[in-house]
Amino acid sequence: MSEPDPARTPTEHGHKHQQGHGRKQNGGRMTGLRHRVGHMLVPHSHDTGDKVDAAMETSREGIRTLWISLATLGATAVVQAVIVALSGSVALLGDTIHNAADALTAVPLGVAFVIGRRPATRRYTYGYGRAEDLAGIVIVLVIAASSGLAAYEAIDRLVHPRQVSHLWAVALAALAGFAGNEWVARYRIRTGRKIGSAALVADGLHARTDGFTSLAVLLGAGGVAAGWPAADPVVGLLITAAILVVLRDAAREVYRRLLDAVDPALVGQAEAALAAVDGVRGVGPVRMRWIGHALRAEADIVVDAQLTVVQAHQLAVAAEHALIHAVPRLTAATVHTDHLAAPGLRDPHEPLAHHGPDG
Amino acid sequence: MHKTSGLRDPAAAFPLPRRRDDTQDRRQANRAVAVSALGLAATGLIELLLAVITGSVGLLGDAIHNLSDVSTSAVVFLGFRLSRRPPTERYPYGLERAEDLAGVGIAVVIWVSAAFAWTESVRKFLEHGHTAHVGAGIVGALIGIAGNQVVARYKLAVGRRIGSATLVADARHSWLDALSSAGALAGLIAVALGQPWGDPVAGLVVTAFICHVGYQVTADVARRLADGVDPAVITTAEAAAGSVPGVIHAHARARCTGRTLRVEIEGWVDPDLPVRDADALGRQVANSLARQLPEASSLTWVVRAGPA
Repeated sequence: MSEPDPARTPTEHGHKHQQGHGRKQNGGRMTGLRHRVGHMLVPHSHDTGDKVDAAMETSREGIRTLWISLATLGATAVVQAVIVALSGSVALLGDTIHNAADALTAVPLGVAFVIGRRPATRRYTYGYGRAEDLAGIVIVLVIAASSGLAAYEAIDRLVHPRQVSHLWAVALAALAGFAGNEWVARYRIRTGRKIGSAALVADGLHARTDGFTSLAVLLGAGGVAAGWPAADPVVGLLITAAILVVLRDAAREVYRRLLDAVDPALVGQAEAALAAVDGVRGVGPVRMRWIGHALRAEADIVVDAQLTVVQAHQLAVAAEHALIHAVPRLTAATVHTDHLAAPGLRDPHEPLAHHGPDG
Repeated sequence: MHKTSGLRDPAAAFPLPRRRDDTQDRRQANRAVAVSALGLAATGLIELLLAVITGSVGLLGDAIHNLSDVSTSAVVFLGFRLSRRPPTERYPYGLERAEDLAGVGIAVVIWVSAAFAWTESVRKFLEHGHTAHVGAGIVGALIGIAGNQVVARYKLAVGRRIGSATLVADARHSWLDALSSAGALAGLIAVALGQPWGDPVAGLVVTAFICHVGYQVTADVARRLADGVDPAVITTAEAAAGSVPGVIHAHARARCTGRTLRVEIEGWVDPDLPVRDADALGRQVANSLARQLPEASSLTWVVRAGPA
């Protein structure tokens, strides 16, 4: 990036990182896809696929773990659904809905990834990455609807008691739900620890708590067998409460994304990185926001007024470069170069201009 | 090394001048929207009450339709309030997008009420439901027509006076809404003439109106949240920047947060230009943008070194 190439096209920043971390070669299909997604989202983006912080985002292993565990949960839900139809247990129904909702969250995300691959257009000038955040709304609505359905069925059963049949099958399905979730939990936690992904470990812990709600169904079946038929709907209501906890977390996450919220610590990191760039005299406002799973920044740096545009541009590029290295998942920054002159005054530094470092 | 406040809008270096003082007009427009919303809310609530008394699903649907329209105005006012809140460290762009988020909630409510009106209409149709106090129902539908007509005329008058195209378009919308009330009226008249199926059929027709509002709200909110803008905005912004002497080429991006249109313009300029002159160009671009794209309310100017 010594000399900017004047012949480049306006939409190509022309500044590509050649980070030979060597992980890209064995990155595989999903990594390649994410990589391309990230690149196409933002035409001015830097090639940071390798750098994007560890974790599942770019790791083929993490993605594979996610898909396999979603498939496992889906299969578990199907098995449970069959037994719900057979036995009429509402506690098991609640657990089935819970597992299915967990598995189904992959569908809108998948659609969003396909849409998100499209390059920016003149209607969507920042690309289609926010489709991922819109998918988040759909996921929250699905979880909300599933908790409503589970609660409705359980209350209906409390008011109109009905015999639960095939108790042994319900117990088996509950065990299947527990086993499926526990297997997924172990798989996610193991992979997460191996590749250093906190997100994957947290997801594994979530699956483990889900396994315990499946065990609650077993408790309900035991209560019915012991001669207390209300045990089944009561457990169904408890499971509804568990779904509501998941709903709250998911809704808060989506709500923050849609309001352009960002962790203030990241902004602090960015400001520090900008201030450390050679030639930057001061750092103005820095703002960041998420577009899908990538961060985008807008920043002001203060430079000497007598620099030429080329020199200022080099500083801006260096600043963007520093930002990309300092802030994980940041893929692009718009850097405005301010100069030391007070705004409004035409040229307060003119008498000094020829005494400057370049004069 | 100096550090400026972290919360200032980067665009503040280039304040966009207001083309003319339109506070007075804006206040009148806001009052017109508020008064219309209150009028429609009253109309909708009266219709809802009469729908419960008479059991008319056509009237129920029309009440929901009117209240859906009111709720979208309510969101606009929520947006006005929230956009005054200053940005914080966690929300560096302010809370304006809460308006869009509220739009998501409104869309969900509209679709749920459309499903409700549809279910009720189908049930009444299949079960040959009875409509009581048909006279009161007819009065309710007439109130619906009158309410929408009055609101339409009022908006048209204010809109013409202050020259607001939005308000005039809104008036046309209110006029069309009166058709939905007329549908409910037709159904009730059919019932009065001894055709009990008239009301559920009117209910289904009115449900179509609710779905139309729901579709518009959903499409609008999804486009805003996905950072979509009218391509004409981009073209105009690039033309405005390109018309400033010294700007060789311009590339624009834009998005809306709530009612604020934020524009980012990269301008390619002579590489040997000093930074302060490039900054002065930015000020001219801001002026040009304010003339050609008055709805833009935030500008970030980025200088790129162009071909010498």
